[in-house]
Amino acid sequence: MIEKLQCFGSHARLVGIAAAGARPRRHAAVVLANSGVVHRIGANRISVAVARRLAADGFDTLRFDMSGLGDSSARDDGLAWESSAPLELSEGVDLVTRDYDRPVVLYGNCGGAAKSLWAARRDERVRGLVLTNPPPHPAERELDSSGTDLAERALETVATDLEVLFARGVCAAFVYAEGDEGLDYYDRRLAPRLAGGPADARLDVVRIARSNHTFSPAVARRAALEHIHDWVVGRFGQYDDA
Amino acid sequence: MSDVEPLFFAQAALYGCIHRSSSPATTGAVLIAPLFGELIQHHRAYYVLAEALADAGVPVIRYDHYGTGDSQGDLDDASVGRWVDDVASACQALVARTAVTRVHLIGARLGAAVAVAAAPRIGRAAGIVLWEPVRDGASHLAELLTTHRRVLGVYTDGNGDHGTREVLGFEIGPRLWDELERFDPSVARLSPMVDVSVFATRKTLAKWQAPDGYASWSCEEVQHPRGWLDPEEGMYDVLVPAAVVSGISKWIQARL
Repeated sequence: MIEKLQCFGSHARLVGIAAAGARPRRHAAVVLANSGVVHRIGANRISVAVARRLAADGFDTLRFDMSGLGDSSARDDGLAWESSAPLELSEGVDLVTRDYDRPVVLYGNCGGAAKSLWAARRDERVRGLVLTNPPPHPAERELDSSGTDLAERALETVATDLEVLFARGVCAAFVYAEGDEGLDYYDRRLAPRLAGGPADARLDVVRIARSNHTFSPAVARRAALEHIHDWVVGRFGQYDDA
Repeated sequence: MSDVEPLFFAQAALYGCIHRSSSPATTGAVLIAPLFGELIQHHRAYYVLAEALADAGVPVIRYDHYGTGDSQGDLDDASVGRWVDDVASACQALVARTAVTRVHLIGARLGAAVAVAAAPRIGRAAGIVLWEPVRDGASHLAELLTTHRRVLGVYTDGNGDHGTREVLGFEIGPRLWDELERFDPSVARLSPMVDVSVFATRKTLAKWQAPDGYASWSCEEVQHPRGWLDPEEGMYDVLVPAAVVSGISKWIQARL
């Protein structure tokens, strides 16, 4: 496998590693986001495993550090991370689509899942999302002073975001650790809201037994890796020359 | 902010970054990472330390051991002997790309033990900084296993297939496990000409005494942020202990 250094970014020096897909090459590319503030290798080095597994099966991949994380510098414009993260993920998408148009799949765990969702909303080149343990909306447990249920509005925001993406043709996989608070949120709140809509055809949900939030147990991590690989191949496995 | 150059070196097997100083300097530093989850926890702290040193005129290389981080391979084909060799490779990469002729080795946790093992083989070593050092592989594994059972015992007992053991999200095969258990680098083998400083908590400092006849040995007690080396759910918080980073940077600067 050939891995190359990449330094890019308009307002920060973003450092990443691009892995060229093995031959025969798949048409889609995969961009991996940071999980929270963990640098690009991911908790338990899982992002390296995901990137190399997909590259070995023909997908070009890019894992990189967003500004202020890992090996990347802070931004020079002071933009807050909620705004800068989707812009920087789009810069990663620029990189993997530089030579030709192709569908891009974003992969993100926990906070990286949220960043990937925001990036997908603004960037139509994103055609797939692999979100592992996407967290509940932060407003889930809050009520505002007037008694209006902020959680309901937050749920509507998340559901609408997803439905807009699904209507655009985006496919998504949510990969949850059994017992993760994100899975509880999905089962109790998000799934009933999405049922009967485009999510039925475009969203796949996987549950990994006996695992914590970061897939630390080896058996769980291998299961997550295989599900991610199989889903990306199943949805985006077209070869370049097909 | 220094000029940071990411690179692959050692026949492209190792990933690292060189932080260049603004003016040519003959004294540099090699940052030797901890292993397993502690590597991830220390990553940004190492970046900040490298920046501080480069800004002070000390070029730095930091890198991922073979089979870890962004370097090639995985723990199945890694070995302690390879990790000790990697220190020399990193030193050569720094020397080849800068005007550096002598280096300080800086290692945290198991990376400190690797630094002690590598130092006698690096003729350019002028000083060694040991940050919350691990004394030997066996005690480190025992400590990691205890923590693993506390935070992940509900999911896994740590025993995998074919003699593989799990510690906090990393699988260690029997060959590497045995090698780590036997890894016991002795500070007594260090040259008394090499300055040594230990930056550690009081509990750890109590285990680190200067060998007989060793004049250039100093200890500095430090305190780490809450959550340091104490993973929850198998994951360490990514923190930057600013006071420790500053202390190490000043120690190096005093020896330029």
